[in-house]
Amino acid sequence: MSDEPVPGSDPDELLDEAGRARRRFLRLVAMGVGAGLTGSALVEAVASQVPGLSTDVAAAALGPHEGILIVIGMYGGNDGFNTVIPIADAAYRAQRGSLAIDARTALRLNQTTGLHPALGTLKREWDAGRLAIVEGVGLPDPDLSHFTSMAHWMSGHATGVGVGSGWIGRWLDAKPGGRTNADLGVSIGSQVPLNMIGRERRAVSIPTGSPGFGGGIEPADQRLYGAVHAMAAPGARGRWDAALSGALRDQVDLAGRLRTVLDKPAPGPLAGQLDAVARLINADLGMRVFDASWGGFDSHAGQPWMHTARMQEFDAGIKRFFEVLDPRWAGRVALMTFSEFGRTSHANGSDGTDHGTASCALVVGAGVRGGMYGQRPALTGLGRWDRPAYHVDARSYYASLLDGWLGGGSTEVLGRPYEDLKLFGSSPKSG
Amino acid sequence: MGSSKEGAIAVADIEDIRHLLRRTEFVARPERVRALGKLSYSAAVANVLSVPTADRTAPVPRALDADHRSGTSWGEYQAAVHWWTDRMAFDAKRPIQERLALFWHGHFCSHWQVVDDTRSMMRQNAAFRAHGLGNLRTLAHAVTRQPAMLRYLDNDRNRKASPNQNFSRELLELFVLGVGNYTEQDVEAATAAWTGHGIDRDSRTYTFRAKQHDTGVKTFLGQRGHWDGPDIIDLVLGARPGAVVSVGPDAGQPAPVVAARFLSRKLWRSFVSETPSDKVIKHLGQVLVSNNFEIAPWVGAMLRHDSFRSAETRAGLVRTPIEYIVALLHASGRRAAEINPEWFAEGMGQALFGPPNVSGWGTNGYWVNSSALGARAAFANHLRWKLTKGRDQNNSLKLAAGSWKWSAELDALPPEQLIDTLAGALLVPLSRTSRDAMVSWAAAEQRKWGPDWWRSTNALLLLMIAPEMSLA
Repeated sequence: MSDEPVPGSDPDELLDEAGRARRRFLRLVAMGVGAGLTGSALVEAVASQVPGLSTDVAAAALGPHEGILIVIGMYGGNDGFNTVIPIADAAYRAQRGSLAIDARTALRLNQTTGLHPALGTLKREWDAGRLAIVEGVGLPDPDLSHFTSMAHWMSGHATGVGVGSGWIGRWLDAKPGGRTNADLGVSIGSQVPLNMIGRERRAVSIPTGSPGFGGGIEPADQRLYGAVHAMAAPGARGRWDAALSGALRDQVDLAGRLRTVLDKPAPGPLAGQLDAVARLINADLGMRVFDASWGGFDSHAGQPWMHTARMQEFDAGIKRFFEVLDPRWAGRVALMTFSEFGRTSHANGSDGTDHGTASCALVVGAGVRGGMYGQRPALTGLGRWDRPAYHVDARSYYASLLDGWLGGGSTEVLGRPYEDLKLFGSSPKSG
Repeated sequence: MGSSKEGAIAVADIEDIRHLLRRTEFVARPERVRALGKLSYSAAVANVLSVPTADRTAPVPRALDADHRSGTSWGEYQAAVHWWTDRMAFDAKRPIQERLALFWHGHFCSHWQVVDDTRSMMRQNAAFRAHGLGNLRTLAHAVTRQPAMLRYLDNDRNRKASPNQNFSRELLELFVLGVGNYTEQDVEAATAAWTGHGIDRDSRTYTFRAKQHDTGVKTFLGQRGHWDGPDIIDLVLGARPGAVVSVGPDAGQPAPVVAARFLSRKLWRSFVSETPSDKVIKHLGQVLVSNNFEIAPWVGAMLRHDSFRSAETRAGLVRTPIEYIVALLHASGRRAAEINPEWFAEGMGQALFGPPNVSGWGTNGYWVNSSALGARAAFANHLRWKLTKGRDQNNSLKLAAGSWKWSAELDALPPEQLIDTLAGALLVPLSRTSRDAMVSWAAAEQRKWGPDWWRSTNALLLLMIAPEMSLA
């Protein structure tokens, strides 16, 4: 009925002043400031609004074959069987009862497979050969606790979760020195999930949304904000005193800058995030990995409306992303989904399903080699509380993305070699 | 640091008392500081815990306990938030009762919108109040019979013919035992035991349906029996003997020992610090077990522990949004219906009756980011506006601590006195850095603009959003 918290979080106030200035800059760009400008031209245009912004904030532009990966987390346990539907499987129909999606309303991909009816954009990507569907993804010794399973999926390490870091974070760690982590990894929202946290580096979190306190224009307000700065100045403080002070200063500064930006209507929980991701990519600031995630997938009851709403949000997100993304970046981006587990194949009598194991993952992008991968979990003969076996190790899924799109190094990141599913037919390139 | 000898006659250090009161009564009320300042620290703790019956049994307003009607309304939600917030800020004689109710609310979670029934949510709230300082087993039994809980975690749909694991899993994982301390078989056994415990649709009261209950034998934590739902709690919390944890870091330990440690860690993280040592957790766990799961001696042991009063502890906990709101409301003397804190609480990250998921809220860093702090500032700004509304030459600023004429008194005060007077009234323990910054600002305001309208009103706001105001 409700999702677990995600492991990891970003105490953003632990950044130094330069890091915080960069973060303010990124937030402005994510909200649409300087749209149409890129790289150093963008920095120049916005720098006047962000005191303390250093000139090297525009990291080197992407190399000719450097790709961008967007991680889309579905928190709570997405129902893979109703996302990628085994439309010809009698066991699916029998075990799902009224929760089974009718083969006539599913968006037909082939004789045995359909997509959830809400996934019209994904269907168009499939038709264009830009959607890879990996079935039967899971992990050995599956844990059915949200928190534990999510930690395993986010860690993605051969030795399990004890490493305390996430797979994208470790990819950031492996990047050559001289570039701050903020150059390369961004998590949309006010938290950084574990998968974006490495041993030394981590993505920076960029919240989006309206600015709030600090946008007053009266002279007395401005004097007040000066007092806030003085009161909350960095100095000899306890850790949490300092964290609170930093957050307050940050808020006041940012609100002042953001009040001139028009508020856009919120297009949906994922679409709003992917809108910001697209804007940051368009700005050509050198970022390689993004995280845009949302919850509400734990459909123990009321699955018909709950899961449909999530699928509508998912589809709207992908649609919005490509609407905002400058077409010249289309060949550089790949979007991938994951969830901490699937659902039981049997419905549970509350119009819902319980925590499962093997499920599907989707990858979208111009460089993707469209088609079906992995192996569909067998449902025949499964008892009420049996969970289907997985066929593709999640770490193999990650290896395929690291090696196929992010330039390699999966063995180091994941702790040992994993099979590459060869999800990509071409390498990243500008359009 | 002050007196730390248990039972010593020596009078407690006043700073220890203030710290104790901030952590247990939301605010160090001056009259409480005066009263407890005459006692030893141990006696002060006893005083904090001496909750009168009237506090435990404070009745929910009749309008919020009305006969069943479908759903719930925003008006009812507001009324519930106002009533509980006022209890925390003003109406409880011993506010630790409310502070603990808040803790249990964030532990045995359910969500107003999911439960969709005002009366159920308020009856659950009453259970936290009635048993929150009583016996933990009694509390657990009471909570698991609450329709709010059964609805929130789908146990009303857990039937022998179609089991639903949501409630039983979260009971073990988040409420009593802790993740990793049980097996999937234990979850299945608990689920079977809890079948049939549901809700009557029309009256929305607890109902047991024998036909839907699985009466078969289950093996739970190594114990075989025809277990019913309440037996599961008794096995975990030691009212029934013999249950042993077989997996995880405490494998081999009796279940109540493991449960007591799990619960002690949660209690410590809410009241003391984010990182308790294993030693202190083992100690507190032992206190809970040896006191037969009575809550008061357990909380008392925590408050009397040396670590509770360490410098690290004092500086180490961020006030949750609700605690922040309560502290400001108390100092302002304005009741919740006048200020509408519910408009701001969600932006701060903590809507009362609305934990984001079944594991409740987090600690420290969980609350600290720029937009959440912005929401605190927006609330403070709103409160400040209410306090200064309609002020003119003859009006006064009215706070709980007293009344000051705007023009004749506050506007005319020299900068240091202005800041000190208002800080004292708002109960903000200002650091030197903050005080110096505010005094400089007030002096500059005075130089540039003379004694002016904005100086006093903005001073109020600055004090309310000072970092010290957000530290527990």
